[in-house]
Amino acid sequence: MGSSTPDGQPELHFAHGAWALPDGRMELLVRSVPGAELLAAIRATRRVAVSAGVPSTYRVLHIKGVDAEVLPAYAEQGPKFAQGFEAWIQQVERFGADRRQIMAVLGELTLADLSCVRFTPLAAWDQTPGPGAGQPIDLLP
Amino acid sequence: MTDTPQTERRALKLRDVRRLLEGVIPPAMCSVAADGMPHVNYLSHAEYVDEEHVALTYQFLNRARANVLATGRVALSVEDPITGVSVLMQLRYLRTDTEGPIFERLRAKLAGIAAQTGMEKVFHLRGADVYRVESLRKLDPVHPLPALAPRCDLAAGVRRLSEQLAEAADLRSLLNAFTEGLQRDLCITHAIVWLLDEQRQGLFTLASIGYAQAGTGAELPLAEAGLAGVALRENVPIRIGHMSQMYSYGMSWRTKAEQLGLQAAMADTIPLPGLASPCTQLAVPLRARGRTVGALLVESERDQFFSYDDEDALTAVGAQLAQGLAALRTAELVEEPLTAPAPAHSADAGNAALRVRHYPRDHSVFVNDQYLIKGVAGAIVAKLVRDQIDSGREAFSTRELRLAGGDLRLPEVQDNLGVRLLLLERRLAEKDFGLRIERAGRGQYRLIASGPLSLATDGA
Repeated sequence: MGSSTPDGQPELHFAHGAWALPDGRMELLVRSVPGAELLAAIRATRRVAVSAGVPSTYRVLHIKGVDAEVLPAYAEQGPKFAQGFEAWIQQVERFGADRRQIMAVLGELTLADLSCVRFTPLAAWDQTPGPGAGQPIDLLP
Repeated sequence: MTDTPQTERRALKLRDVRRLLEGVIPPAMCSVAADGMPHVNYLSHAEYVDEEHVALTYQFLNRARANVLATGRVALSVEDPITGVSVLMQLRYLRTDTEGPIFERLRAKLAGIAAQTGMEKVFHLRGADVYRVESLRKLDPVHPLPALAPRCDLAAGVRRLSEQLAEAADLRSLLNAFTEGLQRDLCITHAIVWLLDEQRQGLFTLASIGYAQAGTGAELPLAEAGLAGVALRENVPIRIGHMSQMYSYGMSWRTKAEQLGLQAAMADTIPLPGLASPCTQLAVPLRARGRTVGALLVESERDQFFSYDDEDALTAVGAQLAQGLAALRTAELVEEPLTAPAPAHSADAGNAALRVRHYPRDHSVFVNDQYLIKGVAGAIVAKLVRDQIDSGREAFSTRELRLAGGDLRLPEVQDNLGVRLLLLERRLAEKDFGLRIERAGRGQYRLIASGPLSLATDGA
């Protein structure tokens, strides 16, 4: 997930889990302390760009928004976070990452360590490498 | 989990994190449009250039490209594939290279990544975008970046190898020290020392380790020399962690010849040394006195076997090898008196005869109908055989050979005679025809035949 500061500096941080709300908005979880610069930029400009990819298939989706807000993570997000975290580990394991070492660093992560970024998708694009890259994706009304 | 409020901003240097640039997890970048809108995308590869610069692949004309050209500001996130710890860099765009060493390094890496991921038809490098690294910070305040378990202590290995090279008094011992040291001190098991033949625009194998056939003297046109050819042309180490057919050396001309049924033409070539399916290759140009004299190619059957640290190590010992080759081949041209009188002709008339056939057109030489060598080295061995048949004399000097330079087609400026003789000595030892060259002192040699020699010259 990326954003930019008021003076145009890009900020970037890994997000743990992403999902859509019934009203069409999206939520992502970001580690509060290491992601502090990104979260500060989002609070200041409300601009976000998200690149969500599946490493094993190279399928990548790009989404942008201009009304992002930063909230504390809340209890109902716990199962979604756990599910997303496990899915991510399974993906990077295919590329040689070591689950035990990842867990040693990130395994103690709880909702208390996370912030929620919520925004309305403004536009989305296919970012999968190849001839279709850059094609806009229609958003549901 | 509790995070401390401070991220590590000051201590971290680009060199400390350069290995993360070639992690298996693609780096992510965030660029910014002129109106401040961010854009995030994944990159195929980021390349360490030096302590202050990185280069990113420019592959597609897209939003990220437009942003880079508009504002020049990029945040780059690279992840440690072992732990998932990330490092964030703030970059400032400087320029795009479409040729030259940085471009070639990136192009080679991208070709390897494309081959590994099945993206060969999609990934095409338009340019290498060079950025200045303005800041970098580790995005995990608690856990240190884990050090990879090194293959060996490279710094200590370089020191030991360097000491051995410094002790070498002649070309043979220099080359032996180098190839033995690669294995013993740097844990490299497959390597080829290529020398450049400027006249013929080709490379020839001076030494190799780790192959069923040493291939001493095997030749390769520069244009077909794969990674070694690129490293030599661009004067920069080139490394691929996942091999691509694009950089396999010597494949196309050999395949073409086989397809055309030209096996007969293949009879006067020495098989190239090399792994059939290398996973990692690193080529380092060998330079001395402002000139490129050849290239060192090391390879492995394991992915990502070599690292940036190997590039540093092999550049250092490669330069010492090149300096040694340059110095000792000059020294080899200065004769010293023979330390012992030439022994009587050692050929035993009872032993099998050695039938030498010489083709002056390309100076290819066959012994008992088996191909030995061609070119300058072929011309040398033909002359020595002829002289020995005419005079019965085994001993010869580099001075004699230089005086016969015109006939031998020795390049005028840099005749490489000592190296050619070493090549010939090794090739004869490898083939074990019963014909060998022995060094008898500086600039002094003997051609020793196990049986009576005969020489036939065809197509003169």
